[in-house]
Amino acid sequence: MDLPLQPEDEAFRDEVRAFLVETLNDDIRRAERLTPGVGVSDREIERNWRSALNGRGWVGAFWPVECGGPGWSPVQRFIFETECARAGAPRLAPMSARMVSSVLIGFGTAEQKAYYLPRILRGEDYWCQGYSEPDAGSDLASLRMRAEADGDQYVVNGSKIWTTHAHLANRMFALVRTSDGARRQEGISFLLIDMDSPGISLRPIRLLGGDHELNQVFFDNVRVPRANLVGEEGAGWRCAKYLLEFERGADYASARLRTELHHAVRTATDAPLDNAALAARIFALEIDIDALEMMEFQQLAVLQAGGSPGFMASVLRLRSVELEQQLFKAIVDIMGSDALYWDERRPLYALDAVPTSHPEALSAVPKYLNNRAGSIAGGAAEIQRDIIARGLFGE
Amino acid sequence: MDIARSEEQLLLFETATRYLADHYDFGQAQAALHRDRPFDATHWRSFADMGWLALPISAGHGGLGGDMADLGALMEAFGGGQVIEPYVGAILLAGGLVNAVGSEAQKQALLPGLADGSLMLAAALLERGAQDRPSRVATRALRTTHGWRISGAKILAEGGHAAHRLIISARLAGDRDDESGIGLFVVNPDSAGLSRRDHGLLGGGVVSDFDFDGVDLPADALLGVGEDACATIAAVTDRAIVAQAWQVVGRSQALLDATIDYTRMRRQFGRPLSANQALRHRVADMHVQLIEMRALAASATVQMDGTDTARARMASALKFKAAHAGRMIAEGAIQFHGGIGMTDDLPLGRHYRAILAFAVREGSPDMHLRRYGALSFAGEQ
Repeated sequence: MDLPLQPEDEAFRDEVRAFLVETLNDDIRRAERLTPGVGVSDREIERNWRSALNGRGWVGAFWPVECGGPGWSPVQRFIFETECARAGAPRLAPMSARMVSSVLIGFGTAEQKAYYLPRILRGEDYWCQGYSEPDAGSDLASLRMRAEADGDQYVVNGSKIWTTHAHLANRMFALVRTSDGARRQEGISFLLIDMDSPGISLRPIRLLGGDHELNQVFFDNVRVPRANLVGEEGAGWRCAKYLLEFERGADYASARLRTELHHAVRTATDAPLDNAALAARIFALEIDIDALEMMEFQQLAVLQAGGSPGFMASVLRLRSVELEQQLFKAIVDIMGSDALYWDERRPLYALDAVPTSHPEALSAVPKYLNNRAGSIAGGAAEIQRDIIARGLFGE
Repeated sequence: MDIARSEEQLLLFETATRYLADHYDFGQAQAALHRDRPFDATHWRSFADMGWLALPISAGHGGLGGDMADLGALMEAFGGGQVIEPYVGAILLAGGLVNAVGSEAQKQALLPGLADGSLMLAAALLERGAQDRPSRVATRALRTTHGWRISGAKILAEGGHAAHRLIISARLAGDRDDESGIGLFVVNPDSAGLSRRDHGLLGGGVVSDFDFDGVDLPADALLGVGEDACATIAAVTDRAIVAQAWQVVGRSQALLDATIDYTRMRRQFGRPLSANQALRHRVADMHVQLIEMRALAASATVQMDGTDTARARMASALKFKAAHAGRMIAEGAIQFHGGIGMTDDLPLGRHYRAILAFAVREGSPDMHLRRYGALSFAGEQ
């Protein structure tokens, strides 16, 4: 979508473009293209990219100015995301600068904000999210990992699962059970845990697509200071709901999906648009990307005006995930027989010799497979439809 | 740039919605429309009084100079209110073409009357076998000593039976399939050699087919100076498509609202229909489709003032999406109303038929998908 831009927005777009030309190189772009997961997991690339962003004050894009955010308008945020996607910039995994920071800004004490937020900007902390448990998936409120108060500490016992980048993170924000109230949501608290604490162990989980992104994390009498509580004890569900809405509603997928689609069409070995049936699928996908782009832009405007994502968050989550799944299915078809080459080694971008003229083909299938998780994680698609229906029927 | 509706646009939408709910009756309007010229102008007159006819017409020609966003608000209300008056044909197509290519004298002669409701126009652009390509024109305009002689046939002119003047396309040069050489003419429907047949229109209203058997027109019947009108017809048609898509948005919202109300009230197996997850999830998907349609309509509305490529691309995107989403929502609404949804007693069926009409007029959804794709992936393969 080419918005009619005001002169100051054009100047901002030129600034972003110049920054991207200066900061990105072919190795970084290749790493991003060949990363099948939620964000580039190479710590060096992540560090350099985040540090370059931080040099401009652009890491905490959603943060209020007083917390270190850039104070962008929705149009500026749109421009930034679009230009980054077009230029093939790496994505930062959302757990630090988007997720935990939004809860800290909304519910944290002044001390917590002053301590943790700058550490995120400087890359001193890398966060993972401890929500799901083996027996608490879409029904998150049934979680059982306990935090028992003991003096000025909690003693934490239990397990978290599907934890993205737990093997890379030095901190976790977790939902823990601090009491068994009448309503199970009331006994949940939001706790910040140092991943170096004694008693924490990890089991890596390898996914269909061949990547190690997820882990199970075990807690055996892990001691956490009570000062690491965010919000009141027992108020964790409010934080969790707020964050889930953010997770669902503040993603900006359309520009990236469009870049993926056009890149696949441009670089495919066989001319996909000469196949009328495949061309019709590609065009219909692009129309859905146009629609998603405007929906995301409208949602940005609501969020930046201080509004709550509400059940539009579920609409966006549902659509962006469905679209991403359809897109990567189409891309595998666009790749044709190039998609048959399969390499177990990771990371893919570190491989110097690939068996096809088309290195993207190596990541196309893992992306397609990994993206089946999109309609499972963060509340399954069925949960999103339940939320939308409750809103529609006024329940 | 502001994509949200302004206070004035919200007020326009609310005023129009309320007025139509109180004063516009589909059955009565349908009966009135079928009468011959001068047709029962009660509704048209009241639309003029509300300023709706003048809304998109330029301020220098008796209009209000409204933009696409203003028009979108009105069109959404028209959709919800089941309006079947020939607004798109008369105001947007015929009026839009006069505004785009007419000389100042022609605009002054036609537009103020169109805006105040005293003069009806109809656009006769299509020909048999050319629905997907308005440039496919076999009707010929030959220069004569006194003006022009028109021979050929035009079809599906909305409100043609009630029009005081027709705006037609005819070929000045080249062959039927050429993408240029088209001129636009103002035609008095009482001209010698011109015959008319009226037909009902899917979704409501009347369309007319015209045969031109050597119809003589004065020299000043040619709109403007006779430059090729293909690009203008495409641009004016794109705006009409976006306006109609906003009507589909209004109709889809009405269908969704009716479905939610009905399934909350209707009880089977001892509980409301709305308690069933299979139904709830499909209603959620209907709502998501409506949100997508609205988003694309907002996008296309912005791009109507953009470049030719951006305008054409988004009009075609919206046409494809609204045709599919509108039918998906209407089909869900009928399914969840059960037997009563199959009767002609509710607005459901009328909305459904009008959405079907949208899907097949001014180019099929698949034609628009191809047009959109060609513009979106130009030079990329």
